[in-house]
Amino acid sequence: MNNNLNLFFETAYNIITALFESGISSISDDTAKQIRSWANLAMDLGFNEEANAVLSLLNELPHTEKVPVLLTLNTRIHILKEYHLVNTNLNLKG
Amino acid sequence: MELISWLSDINEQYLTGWANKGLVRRGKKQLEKESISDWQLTAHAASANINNYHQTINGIGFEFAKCNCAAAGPCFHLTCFLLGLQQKVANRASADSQLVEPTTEPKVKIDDKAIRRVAPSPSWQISCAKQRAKLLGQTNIKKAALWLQQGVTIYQHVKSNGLLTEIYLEQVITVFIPKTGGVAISSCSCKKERCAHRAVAVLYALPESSKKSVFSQSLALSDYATQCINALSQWLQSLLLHGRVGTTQFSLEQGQALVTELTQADLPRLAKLLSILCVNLKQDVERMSQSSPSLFSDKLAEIWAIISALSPPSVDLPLPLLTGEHRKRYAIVQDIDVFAFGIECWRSLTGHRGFTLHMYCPTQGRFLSFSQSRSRSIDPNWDTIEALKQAKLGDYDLPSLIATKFRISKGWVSPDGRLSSQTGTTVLTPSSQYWADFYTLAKTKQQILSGYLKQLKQNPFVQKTQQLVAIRTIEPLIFNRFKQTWQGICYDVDDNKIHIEIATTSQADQFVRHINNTNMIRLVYGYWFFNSEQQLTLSPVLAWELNSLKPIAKGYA
Repeated sequence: MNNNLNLFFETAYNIITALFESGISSISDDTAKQIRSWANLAMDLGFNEEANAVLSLLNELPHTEKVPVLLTLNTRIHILKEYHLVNTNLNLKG
Repeated sequence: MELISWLSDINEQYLTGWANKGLVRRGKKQLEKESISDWQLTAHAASANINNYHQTINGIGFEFAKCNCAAAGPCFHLTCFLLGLQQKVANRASADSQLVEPTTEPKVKIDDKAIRRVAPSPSWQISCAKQRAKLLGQTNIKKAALWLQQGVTIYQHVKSNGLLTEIYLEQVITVFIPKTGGVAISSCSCKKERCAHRAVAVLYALPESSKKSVFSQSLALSDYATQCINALSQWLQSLLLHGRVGTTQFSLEQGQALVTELTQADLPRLAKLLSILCVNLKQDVERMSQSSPSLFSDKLAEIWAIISALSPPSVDLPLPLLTGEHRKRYAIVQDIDVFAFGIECWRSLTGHRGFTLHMYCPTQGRFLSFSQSRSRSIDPNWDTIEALKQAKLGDYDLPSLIATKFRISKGWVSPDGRLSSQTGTTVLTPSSQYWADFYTLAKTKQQILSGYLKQLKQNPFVQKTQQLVAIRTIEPLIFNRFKQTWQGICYDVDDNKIHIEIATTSQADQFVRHINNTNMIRLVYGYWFFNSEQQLTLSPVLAWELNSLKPIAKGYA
């Protein structure tokens, strides 16, 4: 579970960074593939809202509507990650 | 009749708010020589002759009290006069006697019941917003609401004759609202006729249910602030459509202009975050190595959280928390015990250098600090060690305070625990005895993490925390050339592994050499944060060897 969570946050960071770098108007095939794979993992872990949000970035929505979705996703992942880090470290011994 | 009620409400605090302590003291002294039975008092007016000057009052409120002496404002004749009248009313009430009437006015019989008349509801409870605005002024109400939301310390006492409010700002401000006459004739130690302090007293006395609506009305975002937030959203949209790689000089300049506009729109928190973002983008545009994608996404997360909270539907958070504060707000503190445990000298990557005295305040249960710093570009000749030798807190040299416990009988502290050294700071004789309880403040890694979790719940964007940790052993720190930091491992008393990182500076390198030369370090004070590898990391600034009272300090031997 913990390994999956680590992968969840690590991949989320990679996807968000890639989207911030290239811009929402030009999502590469690699990033799109990574997004679909991460959405599956997010669903498995119960992060349905995050999964739906990231998949909507691949839809035929106007780009201007995708920006708030990406920004909200980034904020949610940031907060979830902080809690995850503290909780993981609290449970670690040695 | 109202005059009689108002006179019976007069007390020393109320008078001091209008005049000052000295005049009240002189007035009291003069009153001992006066025969108040000779003074004239009717239901609507009173007069007396004190020290060959004539005093009159013919209405409710200090502005109706007149004396023909040379003083332009309050004088001791008037404080004597008003205190005497108050005594006269009290004597009459207790004796159940009639007041002397002047020949020019119709006789009015005033009985005990009338003299002790009490207003049906407190005069300071003003439930009508329009009436509040008329009496206090909308700007004052807005300022007061902001102070209340910032958590300024306030003590309020309902007295038999009125409402006494003490407000702990840079000075302790005292507001007295008499039961008769209310806010219109209230007094404030700031001596202004209308002020935000009176508004604090009124708003603080409101029922909780009313306060919420006052805050939402008074602290709503201005139209200009809303425009700026919309402009920022649009800028972010354009930035994210084309990505960091597509950032142009023009878009960067737009962002920098927005920083100024956000500051002017009273949104300093957003302005500061955007400024960091722009520096990061500039480094990217100029292809500099310091550019950091993780910093970019962290700052964007915080900016978007604030924009979302400020845009309707808003979350139920105090507005000042979201908008930020323009400058440090120092509030007065009195009679707090403080233990100074070390001084650190430092240099920042932004070109500032300075020193910090670290302290713990058992009275408040938190760490405090006192710093001085200068920018290298603005003040290149400023020397940290020389400045430290000359620095004082109260009447004491800063270095002499290390490892001593002392009392600050009067000082000023900001909400984030920074101590000011402004004129008037009074430090009482430091005790030469070491404060042994200091060691009990040391925590384990798990306790520090639990505390960090609590901080996160209040602010999910908190970056670091400062704590004292007790350690069992520390391994020698090794220099990482790529990261330009000293890195290492230590173990707390429960054998939990703790990562250590210290950014290299000449002060830090010397500090590390000291640490690496001893294997006796048992106590470390420093900043805790999650590093780029997402490990909980300690950046030490002070370290104590076993049985040592004085710490090894970064940049200060």
